[in-house]
Amino acid sequence: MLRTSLRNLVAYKVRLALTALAVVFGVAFVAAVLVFGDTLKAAMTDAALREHRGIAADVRATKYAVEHLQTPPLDEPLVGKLRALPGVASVTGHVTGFTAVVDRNGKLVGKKSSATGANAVPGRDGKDPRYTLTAGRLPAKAGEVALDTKTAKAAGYKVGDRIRIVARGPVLDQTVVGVFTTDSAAVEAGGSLTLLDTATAQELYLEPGVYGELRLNARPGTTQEQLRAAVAPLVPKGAEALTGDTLRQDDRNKVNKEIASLRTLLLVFAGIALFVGSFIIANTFAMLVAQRTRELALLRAIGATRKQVTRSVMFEALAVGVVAGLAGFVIGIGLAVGLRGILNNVGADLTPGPTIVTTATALWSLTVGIGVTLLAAWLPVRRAAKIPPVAALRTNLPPSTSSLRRRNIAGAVTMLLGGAVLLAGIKGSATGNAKVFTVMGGAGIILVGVIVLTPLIATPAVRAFGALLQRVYPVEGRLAYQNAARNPRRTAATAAALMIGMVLVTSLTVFSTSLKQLVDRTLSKGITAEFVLSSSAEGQALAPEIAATVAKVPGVTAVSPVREARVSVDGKEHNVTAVDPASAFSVLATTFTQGGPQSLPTGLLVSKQTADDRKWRVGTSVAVTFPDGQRVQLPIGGIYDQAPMLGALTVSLRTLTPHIDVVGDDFLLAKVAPQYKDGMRDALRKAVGNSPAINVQTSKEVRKDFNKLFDIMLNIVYGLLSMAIVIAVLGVVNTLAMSVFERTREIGMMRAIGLDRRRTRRVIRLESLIISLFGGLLGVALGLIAGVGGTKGMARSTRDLTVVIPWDRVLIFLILAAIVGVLAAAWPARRAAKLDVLTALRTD
Amino acid sequence: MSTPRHSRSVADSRPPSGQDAPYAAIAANLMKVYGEGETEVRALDDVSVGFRSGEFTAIMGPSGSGKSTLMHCMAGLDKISSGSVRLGDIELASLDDTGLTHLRRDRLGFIFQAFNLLPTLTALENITLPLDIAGRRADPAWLDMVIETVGLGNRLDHRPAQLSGGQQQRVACARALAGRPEIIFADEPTGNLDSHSGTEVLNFLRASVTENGQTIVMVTHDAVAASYADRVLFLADGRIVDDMAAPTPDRVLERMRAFNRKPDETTAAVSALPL
Repeated sequence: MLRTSLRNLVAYKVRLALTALAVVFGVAFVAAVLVFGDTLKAAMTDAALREHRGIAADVRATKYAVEHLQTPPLDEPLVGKLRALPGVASVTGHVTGFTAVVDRNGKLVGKKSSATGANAVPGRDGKDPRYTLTAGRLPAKAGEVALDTKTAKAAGYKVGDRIRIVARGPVLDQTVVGVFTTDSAAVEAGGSLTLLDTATAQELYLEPGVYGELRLNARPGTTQEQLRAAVAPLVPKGAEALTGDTLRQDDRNKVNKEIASLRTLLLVFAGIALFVGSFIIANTFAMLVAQRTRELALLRAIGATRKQVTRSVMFEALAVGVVAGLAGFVIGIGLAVGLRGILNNVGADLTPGPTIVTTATALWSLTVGIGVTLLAAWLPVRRAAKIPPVAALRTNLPPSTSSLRRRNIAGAVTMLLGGAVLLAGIKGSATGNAKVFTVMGGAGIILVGVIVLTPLIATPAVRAFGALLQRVYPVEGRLAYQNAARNPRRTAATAAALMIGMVLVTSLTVFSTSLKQLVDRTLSKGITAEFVLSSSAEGQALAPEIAATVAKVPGVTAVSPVREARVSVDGKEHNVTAVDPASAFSVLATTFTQGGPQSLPTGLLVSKQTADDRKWRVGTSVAVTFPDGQRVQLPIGGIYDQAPMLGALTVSLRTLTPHIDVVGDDFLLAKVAPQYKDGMRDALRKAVGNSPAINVQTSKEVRKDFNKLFDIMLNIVYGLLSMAIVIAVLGVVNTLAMSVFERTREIGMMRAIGLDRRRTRRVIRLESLIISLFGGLLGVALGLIAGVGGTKGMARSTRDLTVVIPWDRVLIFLILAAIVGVLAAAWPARRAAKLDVLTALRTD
Repeated sequence: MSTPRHSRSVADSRPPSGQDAPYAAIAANLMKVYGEGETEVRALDDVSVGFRSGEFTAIMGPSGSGKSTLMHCMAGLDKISSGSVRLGDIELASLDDTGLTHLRRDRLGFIFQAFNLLPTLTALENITLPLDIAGRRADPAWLDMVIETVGLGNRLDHRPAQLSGGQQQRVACARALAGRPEIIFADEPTGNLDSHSGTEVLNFLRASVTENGQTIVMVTHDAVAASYADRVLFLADGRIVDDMAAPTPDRVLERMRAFNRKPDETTAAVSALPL
């Protein structure tokens, strides 16, 4: 029996290779994600550990303190106390923050998100062991900086040059006193590192005399844990002492977590690709079994048991799986390397490091390749075993049109079940993630039901397409549609593979477009200010003095900073927004359902949702616990609705600021007198010292930026889903190739009685078009239902969210499905047209 | 070329005297060679023959004699190595694949041994398929006549799988006739049929020649089938070795037996050679 399997593998090599390709792509995707993740993880871990090497113990702000804008007093007196501890060899204080270098054209050098500034920490020898100076010296006083060589080279700066740098505040003029090399993660990730003297760094990033982090080295004989235990009692509130090992483990965990979530996201798409691939496998094996019915029956007739027949076909599947797993693994490594190159080329500047290929990746690739192939081949192979021996003796085999009744019932039941789960999700009491998963699970089950039912839908759908096509091409249209209708199972499986990709693409497009429009509408309705100022580096706040500077610009009638923090009420945390009561309501459009903004200077405003949840009303006095732990009673003066810029609670700047250490504005909103509008952008830019780290945008531009963000995310999703579509195309190619192969004699006859090559090609192309348009239409229809349903479901908790259907996109998807059909038909159609008439007529 | 091997052979076969209908198809010095050098096989070796309009010709000969090849070359299904094939006033060698396809579509009809009906089409749809492909409308009176002669009755909307072999071949005959082609080429049309169904098909072909003046060229190895024709051409080793008018089964059988004897004669001749 083994020999039979091997012979078949050789005999059907093209078809099996095409099939294997469907799995290869999926496996390659998986392998690429694993390799990419491992590589990035190793590089990032390495970089993080390098940053923290040699540290025996570390004192830093707790995560809570950082999130709540608190800076514990890690000051000089504390450093002195720590130095005096037995077992401590050295203590160094470090301050880091956002700092970027401005080049001669007024642009920032390097990647903004990794632009870092730090204090130089010279030892007794005057050198900082972390940096090797290639020219000059370390900065020693205000106005002096040292730059990493990469940045210095990129901007063309050298020792002695006057340069400009930016941090949170205005542009600073500095002199380059040194250039150094470093293996700092920030620089390796495409950013820049600017060294400052300690006092300047403290002033810029924290407050004079305060460090962000203290690093300790132990005397010989003192363990890390002994050191930490000795330090711990001296550590002020809001800070923690860690051993060096814990610190590095924390680094590792952080990287692992980051990579894990990226990997999970990518693996979801790899899983979709594999799922689609499994359809192709199942379909191919069904076709191979049908094609070999007589041969398999003959094996049974001469004495092979069912088990032996099953085993022989399963062995073929196994071989395909092994080949696909191995090939996918190899291609995946290539993909991962290529992906890194591409990402670096578009400016992602991933941390460099060697490509990591683990045994686990190899094993997973093989397991996935073999597993998916065997699972997908199982059903068709079981059908093979059911072929009765007598089938060998029948000359004219009827096409295997076993009844679809059981399948249809199963599909209907599945759909009903999915519908029930979906309804339970939407109407049920579950909230948050549980609700999302229930709804998604329900939609998934319905999708499976539809897939099971596709053969049922295929026949009328194909007939409808056929009727349309026949109007244009009476003969070819009819032949094509009758071919497609001949085996509804096969047509359905081929179309379903395409459908899955289409469902996801369409539903996500509807969802994302609706969200995009919501954000756009909210921004345009919520902001009445003409200009918005924000940091051009993501997540950075603006120094408070910027607001004062902007207020002085002639023509600016109102400026309000928007400052966010977290407070708790009765143990429950809320986002609190702090604004300037004098100007906030001329730059923000806010509707009050109760009360008004009058009490803001000393009171509290709350959102309607929070008020409803907490059963608060105007006049209720609320005890607010601020980040520094102080509790203040604040009376509610107004309840607002539809204020997208405001959090759950709103207070005045003066109420919040005393309770936080890190004072910065997330953005500034500026209202401008009409007659000043024209030159205002330049005036504002000039006021902030033309700092490239500050964006001066009209509110329309801000909206445009948000729209762009949505578009980028959607495009990434399209890119990730394209693999599933490519695999589906392979499926169409496979089915058509099979169709041509099976009908060789028919094609020969039609060629003999007068169908020329062009029209023969057209028959195949139209068949392909019917299959892909069926898959495309079904996918788009289901995608619309899912997208609209999902958006509506979300609209229950997100006010103002309305469903937007981008019909132009939907049309593009359908055209894409048609193009897929035409492309997939290219090779099979050529083969059909090239068939030699006489040879084809002789085929049996 | 070389001299005939048998005294009775006619290398250049002429139509039976007394008939002066125009030629529907003429082959002149037709050569069909497969392979090269040592492995060269001459499937057709300098064949010249004409088929008159309204004539029913059977082509016979042992396996490998070139009878099917001759038919394929005459029908524009196979490329010739040299010589000329003319259908009416058209030289086939001057046509490319599309030209040949259109020629077959518009002017020829085919009947195959294996019926070759499209399983997805009904009997009637199969019959009109060549007309549909050509985008021509069938002459309703003619079509009715053809269908009536085929005698499928109420089975016109049946699919091939629901028809018997004889019925399927009659559908194939109707398909060949529907477009009123200049010539019908039939390749062993009774090869897959029992004798009763075969007789039906042959009667049908005969009738279409006698009553409608159809031109038919039929390859067969069945003497009885050949006897339905007006004329039987005998091929051997790629050459026409005999041309029999008004054949009867006995005469055809007699002639075929001569082929079976031939190997003995050859052996005798070889052994007689002074080596």
